[in-house]
Amino acid sequence: MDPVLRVEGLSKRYPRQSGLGSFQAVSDVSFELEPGGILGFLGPNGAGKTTTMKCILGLLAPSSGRIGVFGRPPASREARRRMGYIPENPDYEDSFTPEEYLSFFASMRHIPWSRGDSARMLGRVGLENWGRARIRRLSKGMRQKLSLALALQGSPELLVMDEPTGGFDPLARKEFRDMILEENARGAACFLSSHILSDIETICSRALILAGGRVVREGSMSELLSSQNRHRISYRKPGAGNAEELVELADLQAAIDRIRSSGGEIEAVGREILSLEEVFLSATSGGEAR
Amino acid sequence: MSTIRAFALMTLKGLTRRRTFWGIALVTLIALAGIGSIPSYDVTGEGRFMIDMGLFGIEIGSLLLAIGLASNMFPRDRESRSVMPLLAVPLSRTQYVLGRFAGAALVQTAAIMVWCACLGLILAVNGYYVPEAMLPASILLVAEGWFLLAVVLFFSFWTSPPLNAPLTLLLFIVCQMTPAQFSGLLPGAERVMDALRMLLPRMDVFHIKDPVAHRIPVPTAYFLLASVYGLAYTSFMLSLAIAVFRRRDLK
Amino acid sequence: MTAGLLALMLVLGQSPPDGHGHGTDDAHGDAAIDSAEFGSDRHLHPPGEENHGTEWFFSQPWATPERWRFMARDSVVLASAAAGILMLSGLRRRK
Repeated sequence: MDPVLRVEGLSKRYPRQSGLGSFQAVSDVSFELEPGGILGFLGPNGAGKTTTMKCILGLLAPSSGRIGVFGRPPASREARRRMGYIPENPDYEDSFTPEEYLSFFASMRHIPWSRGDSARMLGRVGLENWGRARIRRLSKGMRQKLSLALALQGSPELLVMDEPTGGFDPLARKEFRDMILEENARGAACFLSSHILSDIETICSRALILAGGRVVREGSMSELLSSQNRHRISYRKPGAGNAEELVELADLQAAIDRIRSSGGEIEAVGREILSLEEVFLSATSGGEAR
Repeated sequence: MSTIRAFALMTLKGLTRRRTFWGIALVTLIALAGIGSIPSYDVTGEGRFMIDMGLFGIEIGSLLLAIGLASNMFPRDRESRSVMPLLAVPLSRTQYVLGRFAGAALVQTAAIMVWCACLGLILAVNGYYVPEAMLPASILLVAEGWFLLAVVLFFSFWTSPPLNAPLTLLLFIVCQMTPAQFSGLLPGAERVMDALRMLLPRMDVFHIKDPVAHRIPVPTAYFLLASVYGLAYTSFMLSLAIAVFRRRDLK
Repeated sequence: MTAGLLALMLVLGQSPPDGHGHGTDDAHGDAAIDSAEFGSDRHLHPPGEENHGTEWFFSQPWATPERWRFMARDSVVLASAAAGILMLSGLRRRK
């Protein structure tokens, strides 16, 4: 099956503000998002995540490389029609109401839309009582919810989300995660950039870590979280209860022999499961390339 | 086309909620009322002073509206980032420029028509005859207004609003000049000035205040040709704006 | 405001607020009717009655055949240039 999103050798250089020379924001980034997948996009500030996202959305022209959204250029009508986007820190014309925004976006997308559809969509994202309020009265989190409503309009096949839960409280974050999983169950592929690692860990099937404009780690969540080298040995010490020991793969056999020879009883040996935070920190601090 | 129409309506709604629009519209109306209250020393008793000054006031009003409405449309969208969700999903850049232009042009046209109707009313209230050529004159004012709007929109993609206003004003003043007046600005370099004038639009073609005020019949073909000229210049400026915007990265 | 409009009018060369001014543009073409319009020979037209025929219109410098020609020529050139610019910038972007 063709990927929903394919990025091949994407590079982007920006001219420096001084006008002299340029700097490389993104360098040779490649990845794919399969239909129905949820890809988490991680990286420290300035890693090039937003630049990559804007190239995918057709807001920035890549310096080199190719991007295909449903096999088409990102700025094409067909690609845009099948995509929903939640920007980071969204802002809207503040004299409008959420209902008006939904109605105008529906007209621009050629989606038949009624006031009842607006009420349903706003109810779904938790803005049921704010449909006719001016956007200037909405909090940051509420504007984020409006972005979500606009992105979900017309049941897109790809959702591109840039820090979508930034303004959310814990309850709203949980509701957001549930909604993304619902959309994914419907068949939508999701590309999610976030600094909130627990969100990525909970809902993403794959993740990609960017540092210094390059991909430094990529894989399924289970691949990323299970350490290839470190193993945990659980054993019972004679007369001293349970104990655990973390050893490198090269030292594993020697450690088992040592525990046994000292009278210990091995209960389990398995790969160390890391948290996504540990993986993120080790990948981004070491600058380790995949 | 329906996408542009929907975005134009959204633009129209947004612009009519801005204080800038109502401020300019009301100040122009007050100025027109002021012109109506000045005693006319016109021996002919035909209110020529009122028509001439009134149409000129409307022209200035449409210039101010073009600057007030269009100079910060894109800069505002870019700074508030409201342009991102628009361009990322439902709109192409061409549709964005055309929709914004069409929305602002509708607002400006409505304002010019209301001002012209008010001028007619002021003439009638003062007991003067309302010339038939007021309608074509107002159509030419609309054509001139659209051109100014397209100029301001074009400038807005590469200058800041504070620079946009004086640039547009300068262009407006220079473009009112006939080639003879323009080349007279720099004596000794007439040829250069003539060549430069050829590149600038001839906004003096929209000036039919005199014949309207003097109730002189102006051939319909002239109105039509001047309107077509205005529309051609407007489409040229819009195509430049689209070309600039298409190449622009939205960081 | 009115004073501002008057000042702008002067800058832009508008006609002065008397009944028969034709603007600085028109100064050259009015010789034939000047005597009829100004000075002791000033006359009054009843409201609603046309003052002059189209002959007067075509005697104005802004209604000369040259002006008609450039409006027609420039309209064609500008419309074609607009189409060309749109096409070229579209092709460039697709590349």
